[in-house]
Amino acid sequence: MSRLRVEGVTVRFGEVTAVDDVTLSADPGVTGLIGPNGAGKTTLFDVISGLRKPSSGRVLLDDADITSKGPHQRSRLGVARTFQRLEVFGSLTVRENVVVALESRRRPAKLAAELLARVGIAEFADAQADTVPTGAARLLELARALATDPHLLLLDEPSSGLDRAETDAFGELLRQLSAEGRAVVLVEHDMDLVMGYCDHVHVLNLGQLLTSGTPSEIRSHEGVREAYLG
Amino acid sequence: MIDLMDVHAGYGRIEVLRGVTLNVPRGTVTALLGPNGAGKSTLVKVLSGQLRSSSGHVHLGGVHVNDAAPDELARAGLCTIPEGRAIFPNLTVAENLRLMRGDPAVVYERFPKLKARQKQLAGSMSGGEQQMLAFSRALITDPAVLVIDELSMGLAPVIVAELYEVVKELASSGVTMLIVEQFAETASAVADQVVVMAHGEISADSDLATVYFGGTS
Amino acid sequence: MTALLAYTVFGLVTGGAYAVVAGGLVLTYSTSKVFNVGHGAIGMVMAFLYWELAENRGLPQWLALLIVVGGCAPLFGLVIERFVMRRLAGAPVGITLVAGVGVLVGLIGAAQVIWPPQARPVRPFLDQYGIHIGQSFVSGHDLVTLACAVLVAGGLYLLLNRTRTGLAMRACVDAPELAALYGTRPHRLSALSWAIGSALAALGGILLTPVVQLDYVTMTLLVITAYTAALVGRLRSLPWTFVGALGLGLVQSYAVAYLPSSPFWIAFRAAIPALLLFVVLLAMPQSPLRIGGVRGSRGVAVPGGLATGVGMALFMGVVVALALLVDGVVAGQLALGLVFGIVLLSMVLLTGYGGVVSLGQFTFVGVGAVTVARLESSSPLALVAGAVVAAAIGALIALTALRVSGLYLALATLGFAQLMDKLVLQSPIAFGVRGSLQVPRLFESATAQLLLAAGVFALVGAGVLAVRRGRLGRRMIAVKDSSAACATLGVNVRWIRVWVFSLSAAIAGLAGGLFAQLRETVAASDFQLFNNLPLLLFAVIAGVTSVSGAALGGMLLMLLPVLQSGFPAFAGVAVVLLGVAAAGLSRDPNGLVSWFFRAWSWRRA
Repeated sequence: MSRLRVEGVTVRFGEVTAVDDVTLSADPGVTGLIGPNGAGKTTLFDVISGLRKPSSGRVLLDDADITSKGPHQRSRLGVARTFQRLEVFGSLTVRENVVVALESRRRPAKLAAELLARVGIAEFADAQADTVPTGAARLLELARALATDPHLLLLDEPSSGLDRAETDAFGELLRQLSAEGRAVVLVEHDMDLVMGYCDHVHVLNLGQLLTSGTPSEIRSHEGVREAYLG
Repeated sequence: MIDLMDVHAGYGRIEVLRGVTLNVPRGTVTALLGPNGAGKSTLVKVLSGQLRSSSGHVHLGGVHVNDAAPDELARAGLCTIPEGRAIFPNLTVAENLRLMRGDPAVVYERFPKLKARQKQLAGSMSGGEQQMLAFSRALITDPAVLVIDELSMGLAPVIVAELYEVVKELASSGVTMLIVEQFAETASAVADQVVVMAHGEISADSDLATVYFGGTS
Repeated sequence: MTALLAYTVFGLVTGGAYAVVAGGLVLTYSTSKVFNVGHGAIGMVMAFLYWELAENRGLPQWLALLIVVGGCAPLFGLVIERFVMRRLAGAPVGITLVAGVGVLVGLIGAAQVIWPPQARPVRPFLDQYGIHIGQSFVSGHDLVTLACAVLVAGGLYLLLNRTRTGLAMRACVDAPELAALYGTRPHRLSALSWAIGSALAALGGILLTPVVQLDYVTMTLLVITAYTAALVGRLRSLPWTFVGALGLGLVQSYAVAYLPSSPFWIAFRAAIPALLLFVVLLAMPQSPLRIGGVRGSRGVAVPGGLATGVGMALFMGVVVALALLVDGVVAGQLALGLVFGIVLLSMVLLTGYGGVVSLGQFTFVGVGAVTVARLESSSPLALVAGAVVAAAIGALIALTALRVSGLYLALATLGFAQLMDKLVLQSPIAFGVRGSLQVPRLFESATAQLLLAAGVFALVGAGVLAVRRGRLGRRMIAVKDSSAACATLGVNVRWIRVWVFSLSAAIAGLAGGLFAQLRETVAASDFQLFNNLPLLLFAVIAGVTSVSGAALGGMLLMLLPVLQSGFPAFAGVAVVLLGVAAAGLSRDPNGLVSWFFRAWSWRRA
């Protein structure tokens, strides 16, 4: 049994196939999802989180089919995500952003301070969210997703906008989340992060699953280098 | 031909370009490479007039163009092909070509597939054909400067090769080009100069494998 | 059989005129991305201008038509585009809508000043000609209308499919930024679309004058009919818009022919465009959640619980002092201003916090007033009942319009207001055959009324602030900023919408009850559809994000008719000023009060 299983998912926009019959799974721990631009990674996240209906295929969470469920229902089943193009609530303060998420799962609002400290942006707690730097906004999205106490956490390019020290701290956080038994799926372009922290990596190219394996297997895979370096 | 001097730009309070200086000499090809989020597309937006730089200077052909609108630049001979499918999906192929101002025969000769589909809605074609159509503008409008953002994104290698054949021809005919790519080797093969961008700056480290796969590889 | 044929022809004639108007609306919207709420108002003013030239000045009809449709209307479109709409390019829907409402209200004001109310018959075109179909007579004017519709359809087809300019306009529909990279001039295209749009509004308006009469409001609200037709083509497809317009004309014509002619059914006929609007809305596909980009707006500071308490106590103190100082008439006026202030509080919740622009908020005031009047009780419970009924209707509209958002939702509220107006508020169902009802007062003295209104305002204001500080308020704002993120965090976005609509409607309904018992007599004429529009303008001008803005807006709303009765000529001018102010201020949703706040903090700094 896998925490997440995507079975034969295809997404078409008109005649263009963005995701082409992809089957993959993710277990507790950190799973990397990499591939060049336009490979279909974010579209696949949209399908898993329920924001987009696939043209065909199924999404299973702990073996239960959730393909027909809406995004808010999936959240209640333990799915959370962040966005590549940031989606923070700009009119609210950083703290309020997290409180909205806590309240939706009926968790106490006072946990917000703890979560903000955990991702390392406690100093921004009272700033309006559309005024904080990109890196802090990304970490805010992470804190907000964690506030729902997810079993399956989808992170879309979390490290872009982070400096070296912040990236290292983020890696450490990934380890903790993994130790807590959560399944984290990571779309990421920072290969140090992917190679250093993922237990398993899936590579997408042109909408299809190119290969899967451990970080060292991926690193030595010829097709992967070709997909990136052309 | 393209001169950027200490250009800063971003969205709202978020700065994406942190002082970019770049020079593309007349009649040469520069490949601009780098990972996602490096600011490549933002740079293209600044060049094409879609995004105003917050400081620094942008010159095209020696003319200061910081405040020029995209349509003015386009009419002055700058051809920008943005990332994604830069076509009008609800117009037919022939209508798309008519909008480009020029003789479609050139395009039909180079891409016979498009001729066969000229009455079809552009949005109903495959990704590769759509990109051919978008790229047609570089052929048909005889631009002085050509800026292409991620020509190969999401395309099969065969089609990328076909498109790059045309890029090579244009390069040899003396068009000044800035090619923004993730596909490093394809683009580098055509380029006179390769520049790597990371974190909103031009990176001193021009070894791509390092940029993509980290120092440990 | 010939009767059916005749009604079909009549339906096509009306539908043809609608098609002309709707075609202009779609062309303008799809090219410039600004929905022109004032489209009908432009048609109205141009029809008045045509009357002036053809009837008052005695010009030949064809010459007057040429001057208006070929000259004045396009010129006017260009002016509006250049000086109002271009500045708003890329602004959120709420802002362009408010600017459009500003133009609309301003045009009505201008028309009232230039052409004061009187009967203005307009001769139909070619009235000596016509053909008989069985017993029915199809006039020359009808044939001219049909011919115009065909010509407009053909002309637009040629423009959009055979010319480069038209091609560029179609390109702009999908991707205006890309079109600019192709070298097309976006401002020129947008200006052209406004010129043509205005000309078509004028032509449609003039063709319809023999049918709907020259009237400030009726023709202005033609925009709802045009919008319904345009919605059939999703605001983009001209052919489908024409189909929608002809369909609407036919349905209306058959309704005249085959529905009974009791008062209810007569009201029902008038409500057909609004009803069809809801049918089309229900058939709309779910709009996908928008992903990408941080959105946020700077509100005025939200006071904490203690500050709210102190503020409201101070407010009550000022009101008590005023109540002791002023005479009964002034006290009554102040009470009315505060009641309007409560209506605006409902918009602070819905528009200021929730980000939903409502063009039908005054309708809920009417619902509350009718409920209280019908209960004939002087118990405070009657007021509660008014709020509850309004809330139920608010929930109903939110449920009906669940699938749509943004512009579609705002226009749905206008359609809903028209529906309620025709079917309920202006029909005997609401105010009886005499059109007015007596309402027992809660308190006799004007001073007590003032204190009552102030007390309710303070309570509701504190309540609105408490909502903003609390769970629901955070969620409302979160949904406004990013529905997609909300959904992935487990928030049921639809239920939040329903909650906000009902709560806001409840507040408006409560204000309606207070209004009714304050006035003692309420009439259908107090709740005309048009009243919704100045309400939105006052809300935005005074400040739709704060309780103090609501108080200021309420007082201004109360003052407007006072000024009008004092200086009748001023009425129109005031409305024009109002329109101009809204069009100018709409960029800053925090309104006038935030200027005061800023000036204050600057002085302290």
